[in-house]
Amino acid sequence: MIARWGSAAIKGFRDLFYGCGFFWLIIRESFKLNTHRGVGWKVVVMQILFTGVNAMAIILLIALSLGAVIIFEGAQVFSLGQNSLLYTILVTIITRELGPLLTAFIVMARSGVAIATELSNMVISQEIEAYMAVGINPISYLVVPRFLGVTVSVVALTVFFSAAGLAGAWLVVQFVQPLPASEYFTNLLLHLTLTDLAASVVKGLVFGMIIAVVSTYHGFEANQSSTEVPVLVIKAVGRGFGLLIVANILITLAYLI
Amino acid sequence: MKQWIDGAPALTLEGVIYSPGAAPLFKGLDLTVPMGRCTVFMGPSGAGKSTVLRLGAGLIPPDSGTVLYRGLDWSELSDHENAVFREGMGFAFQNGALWANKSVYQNIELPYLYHRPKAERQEVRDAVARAAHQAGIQGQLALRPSQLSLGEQKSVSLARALVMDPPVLFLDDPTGSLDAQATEKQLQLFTELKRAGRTIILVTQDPLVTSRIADRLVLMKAGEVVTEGEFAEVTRNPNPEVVAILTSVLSQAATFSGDILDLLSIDQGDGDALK
Repeated sequence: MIARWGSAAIKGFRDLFYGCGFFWLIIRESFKLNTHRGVGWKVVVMQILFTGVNAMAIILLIALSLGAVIIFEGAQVFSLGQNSLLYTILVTIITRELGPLLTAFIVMARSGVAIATELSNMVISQEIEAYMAVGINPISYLVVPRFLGVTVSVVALTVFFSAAGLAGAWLVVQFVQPLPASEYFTNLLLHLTLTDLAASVVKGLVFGMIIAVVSTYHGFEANQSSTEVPVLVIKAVGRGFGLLIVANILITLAYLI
Repeated sequence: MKQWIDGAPALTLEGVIYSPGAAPLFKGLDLTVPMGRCTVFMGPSGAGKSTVLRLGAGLIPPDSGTVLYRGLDWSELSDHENAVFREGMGFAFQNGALWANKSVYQNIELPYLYHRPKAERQEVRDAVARAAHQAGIQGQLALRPSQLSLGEQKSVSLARALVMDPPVLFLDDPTGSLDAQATEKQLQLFTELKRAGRTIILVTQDPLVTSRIADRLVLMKAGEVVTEGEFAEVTRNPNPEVVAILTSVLSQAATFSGDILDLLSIDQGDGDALK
Protein backbone atom coordinates (compact mmCIF):
# COMPACT_ATOMS: atom_id res chain seq x y z
CA MET A 1 0.00 0.00 0.00
CA ILE A 2 2.74 2.46 1.01
CA ALA A 3 4.80 1.43 -2.00
CA ARG A 4 1.81 2.13 -4.24
CA TRP A 5 1.29 5.57 -2.69
CA GLY A 6 4.99 6.29 -3.03
CA SER A 7 4.97 5.23 -6.66
CA ALA A 8 1.91 7.38 -7.37
CA ALA A 9 3.53 10.35 -5.62
CA ILE A 10 6.73 9.97 -7.65
CA LYS A 11 4.72 9.74 -10.88
CA GLY A 12 2.72 12.81 -9.83
CA PHE A 13 5.88 14.84 -9.16
CA ARG A 14 7.45 13.67 -12.42
CA ASP A 15 4.30 14.70 -14.33
CA LEU A 16 4.37 18.08 -12.59
CA PHE A 17 8.05 18.49 -13.48
CA TYR A 18 7.46 17.61 -17.14
CA GLY A 19 4.34 19.79 -17.16
CA CYS A 20 6.37 22.78 -15.93
CA GLY A 21 8.99 22.15 -18.62
CA PHE A 22 6.22 21.87 -21.23
CA PHE A 23 4.70 25.16 -20.01
CA TRP A 24 8.09 26.86 -20.28
CA LEU A 25 8.48 25.62 -23.88
CA ILE A 26 5.05 27.00 -24.76
CA ILE A 27 5.86 30.40 -23.27
CA ARG A 28 9.20 30.49 -25.11
CA GLU A 29 7.64 29.50 -28.43
CA SER A 30 4.76 31.97 -27.97
CA PHE A 31 7.18 34.80 -28.70
CA LYS A 32 8.05 33.25 -32.06
CA LEU A 33 4.50 33.07 -33.42
CA ASN A 34 3.63 34.46 -36.85
CA THR A 35 6.99 33.83 -38.44
CA HIS A 36 5.61 31.76 -41.28
CA ARG A 37 3.01 33.50 -43.43
CA GLY A 38 0.71 34.09 -40.49
CA VAL A 39 -0.31 30.42 -40.34
CA GLY A 40 -0.06 30.54 -36.54
CA TRP A 41 -2.37 33.56 -36.26
CA LYS A 42 -4.94 31.87 -38.47
CA VAL A 43 -5.08 28.94 -36.02
CA VAL A 44 -5.32 31.39 -33.08
CA VAL A 45 -8.34 33.06 -34.68
CA MET A 46 -9.97 29.70 -35.43
CA GLN A 47 -9.33 28.59 -31.84
CA ILE A 48 -10.91 31.79 -30.47
CA LEU A 49 -13.90 31.21 -32.75
CA PHE A 50 -14.32 27.62 -31.54
CA THR A 51 -13.46 28.12 -27.86
CA GLY A 52 -14.79 31.63 -27.34
CA VAL A 53 -17.50 32.60 -29.82
CA ASN A 54 -19.12 29.16 -30.12
CA ALA A 55 -19.29 28.81 -26.32
CA MET A 56 -21.05 32.13 -25.78
CA ALA A 57 -24.55 30.65 -25.96
CA ILE A 58 -23.98 28.07 -23.22
CA ILE A 59 -22.09 30.64 -21.10
CA LEU A 60 -24.98 33.08 -21.49
CA LEU A 61 -27.51 30.45 -20.43
CA ILE A 62 -25.54 29.46 -17.34
CA ALA A 63 -24.77 33.08 -16.38
CA LEU A 64 -28.44 34.07 -16.66
CA SER A 65 -29.48 31.03 -14.63
CA LEU A 66 -26.94 31.78 -11.92
CA GLY A 67 -27.94 35.46 -11.79
CA ALA A 68 -31.61 34.46 -11.63
CA VAL A 69 -31.08 31.97 -8.81
CA ILE A 70 -29.11 34.47 -6.72
CA ILE A 71 -31.64 37.25 -7.20
CA PHE A 72 -34.66 34.98 -6.59
CA GLU A 73 -33.17 33.49 -3.45
CA GLY A 74 -31.85 36.87 -2.34
CA ALA A 75 -35.26 38.43 -2.79
CA GLN A 76 -36.72 35.94 -0.30
CA VAL A 77 -34.27 37.07 2.36
CA PHE A 78 -33.47 40.70 1.63
CA SER A 79 -35.49 43.56 0.18
CA LEU A 80 -34.13 44.68 -3.15
CA GLY A 81 -33.05 48.18 -3.93
CA GLN A 82 -30.77 49.62 -1.33
CA ASN A 83 -29.72 46.35 0.27
CA SER A 84 -25.94 46.31 -0.04
CA LEU A 85 -25.48 42.69 1.02
CA LEU A 86 -27.30 41.37 -2.04
CA TYR A 87 -25.04 43.36 -4.39
CA THR A 88 -21.98 42.12 -2.53
CA ILE A 89 -23.20 38.53 -2.95
CA LEU A 90 -23.88 39.09 -6.65
CA VAL A 91 -20.40 40.51 -7.27
CA THR A 92 -18.67 37.89 -5.15
CA ILE A 93 -20.37 34.89 -6.71
CA ILE A 94 -20.79 35.98 -10.33
CA THR A 95 -17.73 38.13 -10.92
CA ARG A 96 -15.14 36.82 -8.53
CA GLU A 97 -15.82 33.20 -7.59
CA LEU A 98 -18.28 31.01 -9.43
CA GLY A 99 -18.28 32.89 -12.74
CA PRO A 100 -14.62 32.32 -13.64
CA LEU A 101 -14.68 28.73 -12.35
CA LEU A 102 -17.87 27.73 -14.19
CA THR A 103 -16.56 29.35 -17.37
CA ALA A 104 -13.31 27.38 -17.06
CA PHE A 105 -15.21 24.13 -16.44
CA ILE A 106 -17.29 24.67 -19.57
CA VAL A 107 -14.22 25.45 -21.69
CA MET A 108 -12.34 22.46 -20.28
CA ALA A 109 -15.30 20.19 -21.08
CA ARG A 110 -15.69 21.58 -24.62
CA SER A 111 -12.35 22.78 -25.95
CA GLY A 112 -10.01 20.92 -23.59
CA VAL A 113 -11.56 17.61 -24.60
CA ALA A 114 -11.48 18.56 -28.28
CA ILE A 115 -7.82 19.59 -28.16
CA ALA A 116 -6.67 16.51 -26.23
CA THR A 117 -8.59 14.23 -28.63
CA GLU A 118 -7.28 15.97 -31.74
CA LEU A 119 -3.64 15.95 -30.62
CA SER A 120 -3.64 12.37 -29.37
CA ASN A 121 -5.11 11.19 -32.68
CA MET A 122 -2.41 13.16 -34.50
CA VAL A 123 0.30 11.47 -32.42
CA ILE A 124 -1.12 8.01 -33.15
CA SER A 125 -1.37 8.63 -36.90
CA GLN A 126 2.25 9.95 -36.85
CA GLU A 127 1.15 13.42 -38.00
CA ILE A 128 3.29 14.96 -35.26
CA GLU A 129 6.34 13.04 -36.49
CA ALA A 130 5.53 14.27 -40.00
CA TYR A 131 5.73 17.88 -38.74
CA MET A 132 9.06 17.10 -37.07
CA ALA A 133 10.36 15.43 -40.23
CA VAL A 134 9.91 18.63 -42.24
CA GLY A 135 11.44 20.76 -39.48
CA ILE A 136 8.27 22.22 -37.99
CA ASN A 137 8.29 22.37 -34.20
CA PRO A 138 4.96 20.85 -33.03
CA ILE A 139 4.95 23.03 -29.91
CA SER A 140 5.28 26.17 -31.97
CA TYR A 141 2.92 25.13 -34.76
CA LEU A 142 0.22 23.19 -32.89
CA VAL A 143 0.35 24.06 -29.20
CA VAL A 144 1.10 27.79 -29.13
CA PRO A 145 -1.90 28.84 -31.29
CA ARG A 146 -4.19 26.70 -29.14
CA PHE A 147 -2.60 28.04 -25.96
CA LEU A 148 -3.11 31.67 -27.02
CA GLY A 149 -6.58 31.03 -28.44
CA VAL A 150 -7.85 29.23 -25.35
CA THR A 151 -6.29 31.76 -22.92
CA VAL A 152 -7.72 34.79 -24.72
CA SER A 153 -11.10 33.05 -25.02
CA VAL A 154 -11.32 32.14 -21.34
CA VAL A 155 -10.47 35.71 -20.26
CA ALA A 156 -13.10 37.10 -22.66
CA LEU A 157 -15.71 34.51 -21.65
CA THR A 158 -15.09 35.21 -17.95
CA VAL A 159 -15.81 38.92 -18.51
CA PHE A 160 -18.81 37.96 -20.66
CA PHE A 161 -20.09 35.63 -17.91
CA SER A 162 -19.89 38.45 -15.35
CA ALA A 163 -21.66 40.93 -17.61
CA ALA A 164 -24.37 38.43 -18.59
CA GLY A 165 -24.86 37.21 -15.02
CA LEU A 166 -25.14 40.68 -13.52
CA ALA A 167 -27.35 42.01 -16.33
CA GLY A 168 -29.41 38.81 -16.28
CA ALA A 169 -30.04 39.24 -12.60
CA TRP A 170 -31.55 42.66 -13.27
CA LEU A 171 -33.72 41.29 -16.10
CA VAL A 172 -35.05 38.53 -13.85
CA VAL A 173 -35.66 40.86 -10.94
CA GLN A 174 -38.17 42.75 -13.09
CA PHE A 175 -40.51 39.77 -12.71
CA VAL A 176 -40.13 39.73 -8.93
CA GLN A 177 -39.93 43.36 -7.96
CA PRO A 178 -39.47 45.92 -10.77
CA LEU A 179 -36.39 48.03 -10.13
CA PRO A 180 -35.12 50.95 -12.25
CA ALA A 181 -32.02 50.00 -14.19
CA SER A 182 -30.19 53.12 -13.06
CA GLU A 183 -30.73 52.23 -9.40
CA TYR A 184 -29.68 48.61 -9.83
CA PHE A 185 -26.56 49.28 -11.88
CA THR A 186 -25.50 52.29 -9.79
CA ASN A 187 -25.65 50.20 -6.64
CA LEU A 188 -23.91 47.34 -8.40
CA LEU A 189 -21.05 49.57 -9.56
CA LEU A 190 -20.67 50.91 -6.03
CA HIS A 191 -19.98 47.35 -4.84
CA LEU A 192 -17.89 46.28 -7.81
CA THR A 193 -14.30 47.21 -7.07
CA LEU A 194 -11.35 47.24 -9.42
CA THR A 195 -9.83 44.45 -7.34
CA ASP A 196 -12.89 42.26 -8.01
CA LEU A 197 -12.49 42.82 -11.73
CA ALA A 198 -8.75 42.21 -11.55
CA ALA A 199 -9.29 38.95 -9.62
CA SER A 200 -11.79 37.84 -12.25
CA VAL A 201 -9.45 38.62 -15.16
CA VAL A 202 -6.45 37.01 -13.41
CA LYS A 203 -8.51 33.89 -12.81
CA GLY A 204 -9.57 33.82 -16.46
CA LEU A 205 -5.94 34.17 -17.53
CA VAL A 206 -4.63 31.46 -15.21
CA PHE A 207 -7.55 29.10 -15.91
CA GLY A 208 -7.11 29.53 -19.67
CA MET A 209 -3.42 28.64 -19.41
CA ILE A 210 -4.19 25.61 -17.25
CA ILE A 211 -6.82 24.30 -19.70
CA ALA A 212 -4.52 24.76 -22.70
CA VAL A 213 -1.44 23.25 -21.06
CA VAL A 214 -3.25 20.26 -19.51
CA SER A 215 -5.18 19.35 -22.66
CA THR A 216 -2.18 19.67 -25.01
CA TYR A 217 0.17 17.92 -22.56
CA HIS A 218 -2.10 14.90 -22.21
CA GLY A 219 -2.86 14.95 -25.93
CA PHE A 220 0.84 14.45 -26.63
CA GLU A 221 1.00 11.57 -24.13
CA ALA A 222 -0.60 9.20 -26.65
CA ASN A 223 1.70 6.61 -28.04
CA GLN A 224 0.46 3.91 -30.35
CA SER A 225 -3.14 2.89 -30.01
CA SER A 226 -6.45 4.68 -30.55
CA THR A 227 -7.74 3.04 -27.37
CA GLU A 228 -5.41 5.39 -25.48
CA VAL A 229 -7.40 8.43 -26.64
CA PRO A 230 -10.44 8.19 -24.34
CA VAL A 231 -8.21 7.27 -21.39
CA LEU A 232 -6.01 10.33 -21.96
CA VAL A 233 -9.00 12.62 -22.49
CA ILE A 234 -10.59 11.49 -19.22
CA LYS A 235 -7.22 12.00 -17.51
CA ALA A 236 -6.93 15.49 -18.99
CA VAL A 237 -10.42 16.49 -17.84
CA GLY A 238 -9.93 15.07 -14.33
CA ARG A 239 -6.55 16.70 -13.87
CA GLY A 240 -7.76 19.93 -15.47
CA PHE A 241 -10.73 20.23 -13.11
CA GLY A 242 -8.49 19.47 -10.13
CA LEU A 243 -5.92 22.08 -11.09
CA LEU A 244 -8.62 24.67 -11.79
CA ILE A 245 -10.08 24.20 -8.30
CA VAL A 246 -6.63 24.41 -6.67
CA ALA A 247 -5.75 27.53 -8.69
CA ASN A 248 -9.10 29.10 -7.76
CA ILE A 249 -8.44 28.55 -4.06
CA LEU A 250 -4.90 29.98 -4.31
CA ILE A 251 -6.01 33.11 -6.21
CA THR A 252 -8.92 33.66 -3.81
CA LEU A 253 -6.55 33.33 -0.85
CA ALA A 254 -4.18 35.83 -2.47
CA TYR A 255 -7.14 38.18 -3.00
CA LEU A 256 -8.28 37.90 0.60
CA ILE A 257 -4.78 38.42 2.00
CA MET B 1 25.52 27.54 -36.85
CA LYS B 2 26.86 24.01 -37.32
CA GLN B 3 27.64 22.63 -40.79
CA TRP B 4 27.48 19.13 -42.23
CA ILE B 5 30.80 17.33 -41.97
CA ASP B 6 32.18 16.68 -45.46
CA GLY B 7 32.74 13.02 -46.18
CA ALA B 8 30.76 11.87 -43.13
CA PRO B 9 28.36 8.96 -43.62
CA ALA B 10 24.66 9.76 -44.01
CA LEU B 11 23.93 7.85 -40.81
CA THR B 12 26.06 6.53 -38.00
CA LEU B 13 24.48 4.66 -35.11
CA GLU B 14 26.83 3.80 -32.26
CA GLY B 15 25.77 1.62 -29.35
CA VAL B 16 22.12 2.60 -29.72
CA ILE B 17 19.81 1.22 -27.09
CA TYR B 18 16.10 1.79 -27.63
CA SER B 19 13.07 0.34 -25.88
CA PRO B 20 9.72 1.31 -27.38
CA GLY B 21 7.93 -0.75 -24.73
CA ALA B 22 8.98 -2.79 -21.74
CA ALA B 23 11.45 -4.94 -23.69
CA PRO B 24 14.42 -3.35 -25.49
CA LEU B 25 14.35 -3.50 -29.29
CA PHE B 26 17.95 -2.43 -29.87
CA LYS B 27 20.57 -3.50 -27.35
CA GLY B 28 23.60 -1.62 -28.66
CA LEU B 29 23.00 -1.21 -32.37
CA ASP B 30 25.98 -0.14 -34.52
CA LEU B 31 25.39 0.81 -38.13
CA THR B 32 26.80 3.04 -40.84
CA VAL B 33 24.94 4.19 -43.95
CA PRO B 34 27.07 5.95 -46.59
CA MET B 35 26.16 9.09 -48.54
CA GLY B 36 25.38 8.93 -52.23
CA ARG B 37 24.21 5.31 -52.23
CA CYS B 38 20.89 3.53 -52.02
CA THR B 39 20.82 1.47 -48.84
CA VAL B 40 17.90 -0.92 -48.43
CA PHE B 41 16.82 -2.42 -45.11
CA MET B 42 15.13 -5.80 -45.25
CA GLY B 43 14.03 -8.25 -42.64
CA PRO B 44 10.95 -9.86 -41.14
CA SER B 45 8.20 -7.74 -39.55
CA GLY B 46 9.19 -6.43 -36.14
CA ALA B 47 12.91 -6.49 -36.95
CA GLY B 48 13.20 -2.75 -36.21
CA LYS B 49 13.76 -1.49 -39.77
CA SER B 50 11.28 1.42 -39.57
CA THR B 51 12.55 2.29 -36.09
CA VAL B 52 16.11 2.59 -37.43
CA LEU B 53 14.80 5.03 -40.03
CA ARG B 54 12.97 7.12 -37.41
CA LEU B 55 16.00 7.11 -35.12
CA GLY B 56 18.29 8.05 -37.99
CA ALA B 57 16.02 10.91 -39.05
CA GLY B 58 15.99 12.23 -35.50
CA LEU B 59 12.24 11.70 -35.09
CA ILE B 60 12.68 9.63 -31.94
CA PRO B 61 15.63 9.86 -29.56
CA PRO B 62 17.53 6.72 -28.51
CA ASP B 63 17.50 5.74 -24.82
CA SER B 64 21.30 5.78 -25.01
CA GLY B 65 24.00 5.71 -27.67
CA THR B 66 24.73 8.14 -30.47
CA VAL B 67 22.89 8.86 -33.69
CA LEU B 68 24.88 10.97 -36.14
CA TYR B 69 23.26 12.35 -39.27
CA ARG B 70 25.92 13.49 -41.75
CA GLY B 71 28.36 13.70 -38.87
CA LEU B 72 26.17 15.72 -36.52
CA ASP B 73 24.39 14.46 -33.41
CA TRP B 74 20.66 15.26 -33.59
CA SER B 75 20.58 15.77 -29.82
CA GLU B 76 23.19 18.56 -30.02
CA LEU B 77 21.42 20.66 -32.64
CA SER B 78 19.56 23.82 -31.66
CA ASP B 79 15.90 24.22 -32.68
CA HIS B 80 16.98 26.58 -35.46
CA GLU B 81 19.69 24.21 -36.77
CA ASN B 82 17.26 21.33 -36.56
CA ALA B 83 14.71 23.21 -38.67
CA VAL B 84 17.27 24.41 -41.21
CA PHE B 85 19.00 21.03 -41.65
CA ARG B 86 15.72 19.22 -42.23
CA GLU B 87 15.33 21.13 -45.47
CA GLY B 88 17.99 18.75 -46.76
CA MET B 89 16.14 15.54 -45.97
CA GLY B 90 12.80 14.05 -46.89
CA PHE B 91 10.90 11.35 -45.02
CA ALA B 92 8.11 9.26 -46.53
CA PHE B 93 6.14 7.41 -43.88
CA GLN B 94 4.95 3.83 -44.02
CA ASN B 95 1.34 4.82 -43.31
CA GLY B 96 1.55 8.15 -45.16
CA ALA B 97 1.19 10.20 -41.95
CA LEU B 98 -0.59 12.91 -43.92
CA TRP B 99 -2.09 15.90 -42.13
CA ALA B 100 -5.76 15.00 -42.15
CA ASN B 101 -7.04 18.57 -41.93
CA LYS B 102 -5.17 19.66 -45.07
CA SER B 103 -5.69 18.88 -48.74
CA VAL B 104 -3.13 16.87 -50.69
CA TYR B 105 -1.84 20.14 -52.19
CA GLN B 106 -1.48 21.72 -48.74
CA ASN B 107 0.29 18.62 -47.43
CA ILE B 108 2.94 18.93 -50.12
CA GLU B 109 3.05 22.72 -49.98
CA LEU B 110 3.62 23.17 -46.25
CA PRO B 111 7.32 22.11 -46.08
CA TYR B 112 8.08 24.49 -48.96
CA LEU B 113 6.21 27.39 -47.33
CA TYR B 114 8.01 26.67 -44.07
CA HIS B 115 11.52 26.56 -45.49
CA ARG B 116 11.00 29.28 -48.15
CA PRO B 117 8.66 31.75 -46.45
CA LYS B 118 9.42 34.46 -49.01
CA ALA B 119 8.82 32.27 -52.06
CA GLU B 120 6.43 33.61 -54.70
CA ARG B 121 3.11 31.79 -55.07
CA GLN B 122 4.07 30.59 -58.56
CA GLU B 123 7.35 29.16 -57.27
CA VAL B 124 5.48 27.21 -54.59
CA ARG B 125 2.93 25.96 -57.13
CA ASP B 126 5.72 24.82 -59.45
CA ALA B 127 7.53 22.95 -56.65
CA VAL B 128 4.30 21.20 -55.59
CA ALA B 129 3.47 20.32 -59.21
CA ARG B 130 6.96 18.87 -59.77
CA ALA B 131 6.83 16.73 -56.60
CA ALA B 132 3.27 15.58 -57.35
CA HIS B 133 4.28 14.63 -60.88
CA GLN B 134 7.31 12.69 -59.60
CA ALA B 135 5.11 10.74 -57.18
CA GLY B 136 2.33 10.28 -59.74
CA ILE B 137 -0.43 12.02 -57.82
CA GLN B 138 -0.88 15.18 -59.90
CA GLY B 139 -4.59 14.43 -60.37
CA GLN B 140 -5.36 14.25 -56.66
CA LEU B 141 -4.11 17.58 -55.35
CA ALA B 142 -7.56 18.88 -54.40
CA LEU B 143 -8.55 15.80 -52.42
CA ARG B 144 -8.32 15.21 -48.67
CA PRO B 145 -6.16 12.35 -47.32
CA SER B 146 -9.27 10.46 -46.17
CA GLN B 147 -10.42 10.27 -49.81
CA LEU B 148 -7.28 8.40 -50.87
CA SER B 149 -6.32 4.73 -50.73
CA LEU B 150 -3.36 3.75 -48.55
CA GLY B 151 -1.14 3.43 -51.62
CA GLU B 152 -2.11 6.93 -52.76
CA GLN B 153 -1.50 8.31 -49.28
CA LYS B 154 2.00 6.85 -49.37
CA SER B 155 2.58 8.47 -52.74
CA VAL B 156 1.50 11.84 -51.29
CA SER B 157 3.91 11.26 -48.41
CA LEU B 158 6.64 10.63 -51.01
CA ALA B 159 5.72 13.84 -52.84
CA ARG B 160 5.93 15.75 -49.55
CA ALA B 161 9.39 14.27 -48.97
CA LEU B 162 10.48 15.29 -52.48
CA VAL B 163 9.13 18.84 -52.56
CA MET B 164 12.35 20.43 -51.25
CA ASP B 165 14.41 18.27 -53.63
CA PRO B 166 16.51 17.04 -50.68
CA PRO B 167 19.86 15.25 -51.07
CA VAL B 168 18.87 12.55 -48.52
CA LEU B 169 15.63 10.57 -48.60
CA PHE B 170 14.27 8.27 -45.91
CA LEU B 171 11.62 6.04 -47.48
CA ASP B 172 9.64 3.66 -45.30
CA ASP B 173 8.08 1.00 -47.51
CA PRO B 174 7.15 3.50 -50.26
CA THR B 175 5.81 0.90 -52.70
CA GLY B 176 3.71 -1.10 -50.23
CA SER B 177 0.00 -1.13 -51.24
CA LEU B 178 0.83 0.22 -54.71
CA ASP B 179 -0.27 -1.51 -57.91
CA ALA B 180 2.35 -2.83 -60.32
CA GLN B 181 2.16 0.19 -62.61
CA ALA B 182 2.61 2.70 -59.78
CA THR B 183 5.43 0.60 -58.32
CA GLU B 184 7.21 0.61 -61.66
CA LYS B 185 6.83 4.40 -61.91
CA GLN B 186 8.33 4.83 -58.46
CA LEU B 187 11.19 2.48 -59.26
CA GLN B 188 12.00 4.63 -62.29
CA LEU B 189 11.91 7.69 -60.05
CA PHE B 190 14.26 6.11 -57.49
CA THR B 191 16.63 5.13 -60.28
CA GLU B 192 16.65 8.72 -61.55
CA LEU B 193 17.24 10.03 -58.03
CA LYS B 194 20.15 7.61 -57.61
CA ARG B 195 21.59 8.77 -60.91
CA ALA B 196 21.33 12.35 -59.67
CA GLY B 197 23.47 11.40 -56.65
CA ARG B 198 20.75 11.38 -54.00
CA THR B 199 21.20 9.28 -50.87
CA ILE B 200 18.28 6.89 -50.46
CA ILE B 201 17.69 5.00 -47.24
CA LEU B 202 14.79 2.67 -47.84
CA VAL B 203 12.86 0.02 -45.95
CA THR B 204 10.99 -2.54 -47.99
CA GLN B 205 9.79 -6.12 -48.02
CA ASP B 206 9.62 -6.16 -51.80
CA PRO B 207 12.51 -8.08 -53.43
CA LEU B 208 11.68 -6.47 -56.78
CA VAL B 209 12.34 -3.01 -55.33
CA THR B 210 15.48 -4.25 -53.61
CA SER B 211 16.93 -5.93 -56.65
CA ARG B 212 16.23 -2.91 -58.87
CA ILE B 213 17.63 -0.10 -56.74
CA ALA B 214 19.72 -1.38 -53.82
CA ASP B 215 23.42 -0.57 -53.85
CA ARG B 216 23.77 -1.81 -50.30
CA LEU B 217 21.63 -4.19 -48.29
CA VAL B 218 21.14 -4.35 -44.53
CA LEU B 219 19.41 -7.45 -43.22
CA MET B 220 17.84 -7.15 -39.79
CA LYS B 221 16.20 -9.56 -37.42
CA ALA B 222 14.81 -8.94 -33.92
CA GLY B 223 16.59 -5.60 -33.49
CA GLU B 224 19.96 -6.76 -34.72
CA VAL B 225 21.84 -6.32 -37.96
CA VAL B 226 22.46 -9.83 -39.24
CA THR B 227 24.58 -8.67 -42.14
CA GLU B 228 25.21 -5.57 -44.21
CA GLY B 229 27.23 -4.77 -47.27
CA GLU B 230 27.11 -4.46 -51.03
CA PHE B 231 23.96 -5.95 -52.53
CA ALA B 232 25.78 -8.68 -54.46
CA GLU B 233 27.79 -9.72 -51.41
CA VAL B 234 24.81 -9.96 -49.09
CA THR B 235 22.53 -11.82 -51.48
CA ARG B 236 25.24 -14.39 -52.09
CA ASN B 237 26.10 -14.81 -48.46
CA PRO B 238 25.76 -18.53 -47.68
CA ASN B 239 25.25 -17.87 -43.94
CA PRO B 240 22.13 -19.91 -43.03
CA GLU B 241 20.73 -17.01 -40.96
CA VAL B 242 20.97 -14.66 -43.96
CA VAL B 243 19.34 -17.25 -46.16
CA ALA B 244 16.58 -17.77 -43.60
CA ILE B 245 15.80 -14.03 -43.47
CA LEU B 246 15.80 -13.64 -47.24
CA THR B 247 13.59 -16.69 -47.55
CA SER B 248 11.23 -15.36 -44.92
CA VAL B 249 11.02 -11.98 -46.68
CA LEU B 250 10.51 -13.65 -50.02
CA SER B 251 7.72 -15.78 -48.64
CA GLN B 252 5.87 -12.58 -47.65
CA ALA B 253 6.32 -11.01 -51.06
CA ALA B 254 4.02 -11.34 -54.04
CA THR B 255 6.74 -10.95 -56.61
CA PHE B 256 10.17 -12.46 -56.83
CA SER B 257 13.39 -11.10 -58.13
CA GLY B 258 15.83 -13.15 -60.09
CA ASP B 259 18.75 -11.41 -58.38
CA ILE B 260 17.72 -12.41 -54.89
CA LEU B 261 16.61 -15.83 -56.03
CA ASP B 262 20.20 -16.33 -57.13
CA LEU B 263 21.03 -16.95 -53.51
CA LEU B 264 18.18 -19.38 -53.09
CA SER B 265 19.15 -21.27 -56.20
CA ILE B 266 22.69 -21.62 -54.85
CA ASP B 267 21.32 -23.04 -51.64
CA GLN B 268 18.77 -25.13 -53.44
CA GLY B 269 21.76 -26.69 -55.09
CA ASP B 270 23.00 -27.67 -51.66
CA GLY B 271 19.52 -28.81 -50.87
CA ASP B 272 19.42 -27.52 -47.26
CA ALA B 273 18.73 -23.86 -46.91
CA LEU B 274 15.12 -23.76 -47.99
CA LYS B 275 14.00 -26.75 -45.98
